[in-house]
Amino acid sequence: MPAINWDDLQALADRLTQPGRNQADISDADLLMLDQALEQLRTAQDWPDIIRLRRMFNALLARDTFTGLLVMQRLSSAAITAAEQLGDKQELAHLLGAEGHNLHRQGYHRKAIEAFERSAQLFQETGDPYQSLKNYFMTSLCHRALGDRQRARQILDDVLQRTSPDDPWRGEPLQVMSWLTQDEGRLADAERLLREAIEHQRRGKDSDILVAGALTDLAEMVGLQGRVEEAKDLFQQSLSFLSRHEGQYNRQEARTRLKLADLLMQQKEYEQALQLLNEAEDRISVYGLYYDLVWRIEMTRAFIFFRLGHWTNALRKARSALHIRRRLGLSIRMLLRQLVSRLHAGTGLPR
Amino acid sequence: MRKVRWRRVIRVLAALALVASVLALISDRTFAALATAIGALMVLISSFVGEQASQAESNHLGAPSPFYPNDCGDKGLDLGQRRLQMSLAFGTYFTGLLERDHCYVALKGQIAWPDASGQEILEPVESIFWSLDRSDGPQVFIIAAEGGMGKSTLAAKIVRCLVEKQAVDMILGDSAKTQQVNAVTGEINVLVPAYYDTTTFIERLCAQVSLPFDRNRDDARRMLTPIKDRLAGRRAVIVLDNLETVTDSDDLYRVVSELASRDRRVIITTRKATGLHVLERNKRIVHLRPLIRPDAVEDFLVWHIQQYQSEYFELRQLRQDIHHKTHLTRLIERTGGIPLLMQLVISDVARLSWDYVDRLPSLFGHELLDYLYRERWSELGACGADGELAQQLLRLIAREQYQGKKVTLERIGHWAQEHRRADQLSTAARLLIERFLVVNHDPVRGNFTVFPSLAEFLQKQH
Repeated sequence: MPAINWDDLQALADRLTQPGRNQADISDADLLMLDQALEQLRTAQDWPDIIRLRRMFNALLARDTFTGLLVMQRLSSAAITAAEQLGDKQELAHLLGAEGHNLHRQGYHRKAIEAFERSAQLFQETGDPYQSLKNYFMTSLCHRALGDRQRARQILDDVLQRTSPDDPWRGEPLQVMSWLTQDEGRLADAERLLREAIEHQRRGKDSDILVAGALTDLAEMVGLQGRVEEAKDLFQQSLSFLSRHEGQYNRQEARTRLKLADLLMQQKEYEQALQLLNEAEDRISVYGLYYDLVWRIEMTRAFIFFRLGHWTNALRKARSALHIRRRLGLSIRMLLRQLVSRLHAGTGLPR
Repeated sequence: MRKVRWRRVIRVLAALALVASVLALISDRTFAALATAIGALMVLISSFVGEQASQAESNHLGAPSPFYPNDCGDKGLDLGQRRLQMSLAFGTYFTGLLERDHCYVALKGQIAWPDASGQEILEPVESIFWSLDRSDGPQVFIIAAEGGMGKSTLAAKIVRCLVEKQAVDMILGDSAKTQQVNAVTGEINVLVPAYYDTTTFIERLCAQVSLPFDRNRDDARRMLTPIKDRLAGRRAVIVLDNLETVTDSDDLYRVVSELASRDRRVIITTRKATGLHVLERNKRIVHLRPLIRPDAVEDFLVWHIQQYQSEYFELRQLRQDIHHKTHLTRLIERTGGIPLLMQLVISDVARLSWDYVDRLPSLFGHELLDYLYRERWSELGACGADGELAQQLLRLIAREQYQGKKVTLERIGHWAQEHRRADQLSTAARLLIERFLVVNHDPVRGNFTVFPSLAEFLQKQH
C-alpha cells in the first residue's frame, strides 16, 4: 500500500483553489491520488487524518466549481463520519453546515434543511450562537426553494431581529428577504432591500462573491422594472467581480449568465440569450452537479424556443426541466403555480 | 424575419377561420362550413410543419461552412478547463490526439468510404467532411480497423474539424477502458474492452450533461429521452472510442444509434464491425485498409521521417531509400501495410539495415506487433543498466499516461534524480526513441506517450 504523500495533497489543494486556467493542468492522476489517500484512511479508520484531509480542501468545498466531483462528495461524507466517530461536535457542526450548502446548491433542499438544522443545533450546544444563527438562516433559502415562503419569512424575521444593525453579515438575510418581496410582486421594495444588503456586504471582509451575487439579483430586479441599460451595466459589474476568481465560482458565473439571458429574452434578443445559456451550462457541467441551476436554464430555454416558435425544442426543454425537478423531489404543481403567479405579476421566471 | 411574421399572420387567420367555421358547423351543419374548417385546419398544421422543417434546417450541423478542406482539424484543440473532463472520459491517449497539432496524415487508399462515388475529386477525408456537412448526411460513423491502423487518430481529426468549423459546440462520449486503477493499492488492473456496457456509457453521458443517474436504481435505456431533451438545441458530437466489436444486435450500439440525429453525430471506433452489412441510410462504416500502394507508403514514410527525424537523427539516412519501390514493396509485404508496424520496422531499418525486413518472421497483424514489442523488450534487457532504466522509464510513461498525466521532460528528470540515474537518462531515452517505443509530441517541454497496444503489452511483462 503506498504511503500518503501529504505534501502532494496540499499542493493539489493549492492548485485547485488558484483562480485562472490552472485546472487545465489537473489530471485524473491528481484526483486518483486524493481518492487513494481517502480510501486508505477509511480502510484504516484513521478518523483524525480524514479530518486533516478534509481541512486541506475546505476552501475548495466552500466554493462553486468542484463540489460535484465524486471524490469531493466522498471526502465530505467520510469527514462527517470521522467527526461523529471522534465525538468532535465543533468539527461536525462545521462539516454539516458545509454539506448543507452543497446539497442546497445541487437542489436537494430537504436534505439540506436536515444538515443545516443539525449544524445549528450542534453550534448552539458548543456555545457558538452566531454560527448557529447562520445555519438556521440557511434553512430559509431551502424553505423558499420548496415553496414554503411563509416559513422562510418567519425565519428571516427571526434572524434579522437577532442580528446587529451594523453587522455586515446582515446583508445575507436582507438579500433573501428581497427575493421573497420580489416573489410577492413588490419590485421597488425588493430593490430597496437589495441595495441595503449590498451596502452591508461591501463592508464585509473578502465579500467579492457575495457582492457579485447580490449585484446579479439587483440587475434582475432593475431589468424587471424596465431599466434595461442600468440592468446590463449591473450584470457587467457582477461578471467583472467574478472574473477575478476565474474558474472558482462557476455556479455563480452561470447564475449571472442565466439571469442576463432572462433579461435578453424579455428584450427579444433570443440568439444572444441562448448563447449565454449555453455558456452558463458549460460552466456548471464541467465538475459540478448543480441540477438546481440546470432545470432553471432548461426552463428559460423552453420559453425562448416557445417565443421563437420552435415548438418541439420548447416542449423538450420544458420536459427536461420537469424531469430534473422530479428527480430532485421538487413539486411540479408548485412550479406551475409559481410560473402563473410570477408571470402574471411580471416578476420573472420562478427561482 | 419577414417570413416568420407572415407565417404567424397566416396562422392567426387560419385559427380564426377554424373557430368561426366550427361555430358555423355546430349551428348549420353545412358542407361549406365543414370544408372551411378542414381547410383552415390544414393551413394551420402546414404552417407548423413548415416551421419545424426550417428550424431543423437552421440547426443542422454543417450550417457554418459549405466545404471543409483537407487540412481541417489539423490544429490541436485548446481544451482549457475541460481537459480533466475529457481525460476522465477518453483517457490521455485520445485527449492527447485532440490536443496535438498535425497528428493525422491523409494516405491514398487507406480510407474505404462508401459515399465516395461521385466525389472522386475529393480526398476521402474531405468526402467524410462533405457528408457531415449535409443535413441529410450520415449520423453514425463507425471507424473499423485492427489495432495500429489509426482509428482514434481519424476520429480525433474529425472531431477537431467539427469544433474548428463551429459545427459542434459539445464533445461528449467515453472510451472503453482497458485498465483500471485500484484505489487502495494503486495497482493497475487489466480490463477486457468487451465488458464495456450500456449502463457505463449512459452513466458517463448523464454526468456530462448534468442529469441525475443512479446505476443501481435507474434503467439506462429510460435515460435516452432525458439525454436527448438536454441536448435539444445544441450541436454535439458523441464519441465512443475503443470498442472491441460492434454488431447490429449490440444493445450498446443500438442505444448509441438512437442518440444520433442531425445535430448529434456519433463516432464509434472499433476493431471489428460485424453483421452491419445492411445499414440504414443514416449510418456509415469507414474501414481503414492496410496501405498497399507503394506511393501511399512513400507519402507515409516521408511524413514519419519529417515528424520524428529531429529526435531520431538516423531516420534522415532513409530519406532517399524510401523512394525505391523495391524497399517499399518489401515493407508492405512484411508488415501487411499496417501503419504502426511500418513505423516500428522503419525505425529498426534505420538502426540496422534493409536486410532486417527480410529477417522478420512470417507473422501478421497483432502477432507481428507482439513479436516486435517482445524483441525490443529483450533488446532493452540485454543493454545493461541503460536498458534496464529504459524499461523502467517506459513503464513510468505508460502508467502516468493512463492516469492522465502529461509526462514532461521535467517530470522524467525528477524521476531519474529520485532514482539517482540522472546521468543515464539521455541514453535510456534514446534507446526508447530509436525503437519507436515512445513518442514525444512537445520538443520544448516534452510530452511523452506510448501507443495503447504497447501499454497493454507492458501490463503482461513482469
